[in-house]
Amino acid sequence: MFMKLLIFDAGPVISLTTNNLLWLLSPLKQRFKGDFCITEAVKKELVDRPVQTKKFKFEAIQVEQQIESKVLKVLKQNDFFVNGARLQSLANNIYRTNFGSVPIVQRGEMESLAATILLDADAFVTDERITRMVIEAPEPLRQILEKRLHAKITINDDALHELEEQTRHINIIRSVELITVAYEQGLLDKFIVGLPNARKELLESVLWGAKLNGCAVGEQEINQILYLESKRII
Amino acid sequence: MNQIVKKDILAVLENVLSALKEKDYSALGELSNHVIHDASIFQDDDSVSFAILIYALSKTLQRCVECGVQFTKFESLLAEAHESLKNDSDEIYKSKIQALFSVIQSADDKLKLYIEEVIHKAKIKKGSKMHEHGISVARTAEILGISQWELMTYIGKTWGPEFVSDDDVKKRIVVARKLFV
Repeated sequence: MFMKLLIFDAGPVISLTTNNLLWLLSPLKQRFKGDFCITEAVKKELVDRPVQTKKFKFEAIQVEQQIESKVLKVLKQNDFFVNGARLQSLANNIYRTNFGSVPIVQRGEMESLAATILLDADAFVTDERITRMVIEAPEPLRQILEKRLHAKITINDDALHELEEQTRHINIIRSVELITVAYEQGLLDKFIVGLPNARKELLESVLWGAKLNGCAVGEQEINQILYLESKRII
Repeated sequence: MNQIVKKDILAVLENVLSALKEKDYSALGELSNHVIHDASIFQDDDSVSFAILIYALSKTLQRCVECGVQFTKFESLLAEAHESLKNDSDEIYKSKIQALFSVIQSADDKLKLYIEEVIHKAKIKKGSKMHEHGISVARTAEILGISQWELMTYIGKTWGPEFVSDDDVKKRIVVARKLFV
């Protein structure tokens, strides 16, 4: 039987947890009617490491609770490791300076991307701007690198084309899109209070919360989402 | 050591020594960003640890002024680090950098500055700069040995610009909406 899947990178789970919105995953999963998955490397970043610290221990416990209650499923290591290494090698060899390639991504996030491709998941949920841009907007990322690094950056077309080929069919969403859908479906209605423009204020507050806790979303995009939601013109 | 990194560290060290002579400690924070380009491109220990050291030094020296405490060791060690690097004595340079970290740590008792926290914050600050330079949060956290939790919550409050069109926003919401019908 065909199983629906969403693969989560660490970022969106961090954004949701630090905004006290991790509980949204359970009702969203019910509506999704499929599995929400993370790789073992992502679990390590979300739970195993922070639970050893003081600062994010409680956040790690909350994520572990989502795993134990089977809202988040941890994918056992298999081909993701090998394919993640290949994707990492491709992405890290796309942008070149006179001194060599600039490594821009890490293995763990590429394993999540590999899982998305290998399992033909419905979407890859990531808040990471760089990962998203290397897949969706490699030229603007080249411009950012060139401007920031004060170095001539060229693109390795072979590596880029192979990465494009492998990621051609994947959908990418962020925590802000999950939050927006949760808002549309009334999952946040309990927070509609007696303030003027309560619905708009609520959506604005949760979108900004996600941004301020690391989701790569611009102010202009938040305003655009607020506008679209107010008009429901999509 | 990479020759480009070496050249850049030497140039920054000269500026750091000038700033110390003029007691312009706040300038050190900005100078620590000058090797972030190298740290982002080469992702080597030398440029990363140098950027962290200079930032932590700027915080420590500012605190010295507030507390009326004098630390003379910094300047001589930095001068020695500069000299050894100039003479291509990379190992001696590295030992001087280690000694500088130790001196900063030994200042803790007098300054009540919680130096570990200063160094940790320096890593997060420099990490956010590396992310601004186009390195992913996960990769940056890996290079600096910090957690993505810390880096994300800091970066969220600092970096904004992005190439985006209205279509991207619409498309992504439409995709998300279809998933949850």
